[in-house]
Amino acid sequence: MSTSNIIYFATPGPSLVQDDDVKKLRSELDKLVEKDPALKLAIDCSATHYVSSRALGLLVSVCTGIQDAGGHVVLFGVTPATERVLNVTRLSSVLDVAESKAEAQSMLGGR
Amino acid sequence: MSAPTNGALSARFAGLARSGSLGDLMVKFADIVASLGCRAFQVYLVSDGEAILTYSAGVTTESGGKLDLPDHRWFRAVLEDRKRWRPADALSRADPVFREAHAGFALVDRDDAVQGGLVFFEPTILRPLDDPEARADVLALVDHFGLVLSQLRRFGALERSHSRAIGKLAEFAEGQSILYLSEREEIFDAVLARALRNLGAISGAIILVEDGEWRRVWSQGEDADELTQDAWEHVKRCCEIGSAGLVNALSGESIFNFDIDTIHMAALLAFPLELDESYSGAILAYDATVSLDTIETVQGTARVAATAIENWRVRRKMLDQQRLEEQMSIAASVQSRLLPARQPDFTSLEVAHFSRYCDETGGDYIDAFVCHEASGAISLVVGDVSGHGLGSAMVMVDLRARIRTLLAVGDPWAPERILDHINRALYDETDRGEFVTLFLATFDGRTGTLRYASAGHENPLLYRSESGAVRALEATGIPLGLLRDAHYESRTVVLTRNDVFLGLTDGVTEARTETGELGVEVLHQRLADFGKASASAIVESIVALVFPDGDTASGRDDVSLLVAKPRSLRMEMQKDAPDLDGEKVWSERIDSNPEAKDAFLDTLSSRLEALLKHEDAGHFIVAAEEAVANATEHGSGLIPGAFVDVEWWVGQSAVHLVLHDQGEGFDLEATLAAPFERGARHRVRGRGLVIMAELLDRIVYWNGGRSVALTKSLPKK
Repeated sequence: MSTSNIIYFATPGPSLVQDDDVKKLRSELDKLVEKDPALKLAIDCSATHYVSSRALGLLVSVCTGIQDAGGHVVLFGVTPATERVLNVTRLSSVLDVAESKAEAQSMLGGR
Repeated sequence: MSAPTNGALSARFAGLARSGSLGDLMVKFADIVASLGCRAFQVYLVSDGEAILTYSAGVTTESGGKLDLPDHRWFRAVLEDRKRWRPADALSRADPVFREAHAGFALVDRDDAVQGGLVFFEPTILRPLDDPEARADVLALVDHFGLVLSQLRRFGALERSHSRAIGKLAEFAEGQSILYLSEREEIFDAVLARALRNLGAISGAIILVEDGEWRRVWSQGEDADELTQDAWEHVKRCCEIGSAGLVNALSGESIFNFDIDTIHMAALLAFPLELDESYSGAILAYDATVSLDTIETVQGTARVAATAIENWRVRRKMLDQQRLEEQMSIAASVQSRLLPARQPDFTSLEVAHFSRYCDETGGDYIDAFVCHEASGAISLVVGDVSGHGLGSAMVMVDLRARIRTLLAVGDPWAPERILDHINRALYDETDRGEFVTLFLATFDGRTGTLRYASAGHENPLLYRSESGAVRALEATGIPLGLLRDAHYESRTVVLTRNDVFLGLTDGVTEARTETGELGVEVLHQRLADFGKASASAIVESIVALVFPDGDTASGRDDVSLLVAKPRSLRMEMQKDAPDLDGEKVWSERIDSNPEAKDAFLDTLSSRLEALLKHEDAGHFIVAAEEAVANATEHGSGLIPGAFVDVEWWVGQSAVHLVLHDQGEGFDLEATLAAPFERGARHRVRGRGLVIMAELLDRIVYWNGGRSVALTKSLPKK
């Protein structure tokens, strides 16, 4: 398990729906992964109220990539609307979701 | 004269005729009356036109001492009328042994003249007096007694052994109180104490045959702590012969016939107890000096003891039976409360069921309930605990609690994990005698998706309303509790409106018919024929197959079935275009590429803000994005010149976005059924569909999937 510090990233608001938004998210996450493929990443979703399946798909593929490289990703601050969509697409069992920033920190075992 | 119905009784009656004197007759008669269960009686003889009390024996529960004839006029009527029963207007208590206040009879002689009367007080005959056999026995006894009585009077053989008779009757009176003891130990104690006292002995025991074995059930005195081999042998011999016997203390000889004048010094004495028409017990005494007199007295006690023991056995059996019946009825009512309501009412699913246990309780389990409030997901469960009756019912109740809890706290869309959990729990916690099969399914009323897993349960059937075809829903998995590492898999099928799901237990397929077992083929056919009917009509028609003559109480196994029929679903594929309320407000053609899609969504967003609440507008945009993306990427395709036609409708109660693409359409059911949890591709179509189904009120596809109407209700004014 990496002893590096936790990297924090906030998803944009209010919506991650249109292709432009998704493209932007992808390039930002790619940058982080380039620096450290096995990073400990805490994603703050509190600004995002609307999320499309494409955005979710992106998150899943990024998270899987990081996990496969030995890192760990935890989402926190998930809004009720986003939670609804995570549940209905069964992604709440695939992505790690914490109730709060503190819980995310402890799940990632660091600061 | 009527003859007694009971052969053994008849033999005793014959003994009455061998009475040498009136006193002798009374003693013998008293014995017989005691063995019939009567507490006390009086004999009146007519002299100079008056009925005079001549003999009296026993005590009643009330009088405690003297017997009192309550109603002399009644008794006169008995004598005049020759025979009459006093109606049972007295005691009616909870004691299952029936009592009457008293019964009176006229005693007639050979010339048919009334010579006297007989009154039985509180005759506690085990069978009620309105039983014709009991009545017949008593009448026979009375008649016979009357005849012998008249004979003796005729020969003037009265008074000779009066004193002896008086003594015996006194004993008889006191001995009768044993009949009213209710505890087994009390009976033994009283019988043995009485017998030993009359014998002048200090040690003795009571022996009974229980569960086929000879057992010493009670004893008094040191010598009887451990019974010797000789004692057992003597007891068994007396029971074989059916007569009291003693072992002479000096000569060691066994004696079974007694002289009226001889005194015997006995090392052992045994008095057999006649129970259930065989001698299967005895009163045993050590070291007593006895005469015929003593022996006869204790024989009387033995007869009373036998009756008291039999009374106790019958009473206990009746109480046990009553207790068991009460408990079974409580268990049955608990279990019936756990079955689903008669007609569970779900918005998206029409459900009907039938469940019948062949005992009061059983091992079948069917259930239909909302397992996830937010999504309205409905669980359908069918299970079967092997066997039937109370044991299976208890396992079933436990199973039901586990399933409901696991569905509430776990993932209802992973039924295979729930089966896994229960399997390991059952394996660890129970004796591996139970054999539990279970079918677990979760139904999504928005899309019609049914995710299911099975642990060796009878395959449910699925009728497709469009094709009329019937198939079995198969899933692998062995019954629960057999193998700790058993593997369970879930499968998915997508139901459409008016399809029929039929879950059942093997009581249905294995039901006996004229041609053998009912089997599965017959059910396939029945579903195909009745598939278009309502869920309850389908249930009834299958119940009619299992119970052709309508008698649902017959059958050797529990029978359960569950029918579920989707009503209209939120997301559906139709043949024709839907009727949309409202008018087309605008339409446009957008190029099939991401930039055009995004631009369109921006425009749509501003229009929506005017009509819907902010949050609902946001959700609509998400759903619209999915639909338009599907139409562009999967439908028309991201090729130059491809396009998607868009229409915007506004009605009284809802708004609609309609899309038409130029693609080849798609299979809605297959797309919904394909697993999309771990799709690594960015755009997994199934995911988009379920998001739409979650966020909108209605989605209708038609034209093979090339056209779709997305509907959102307007907020109520």
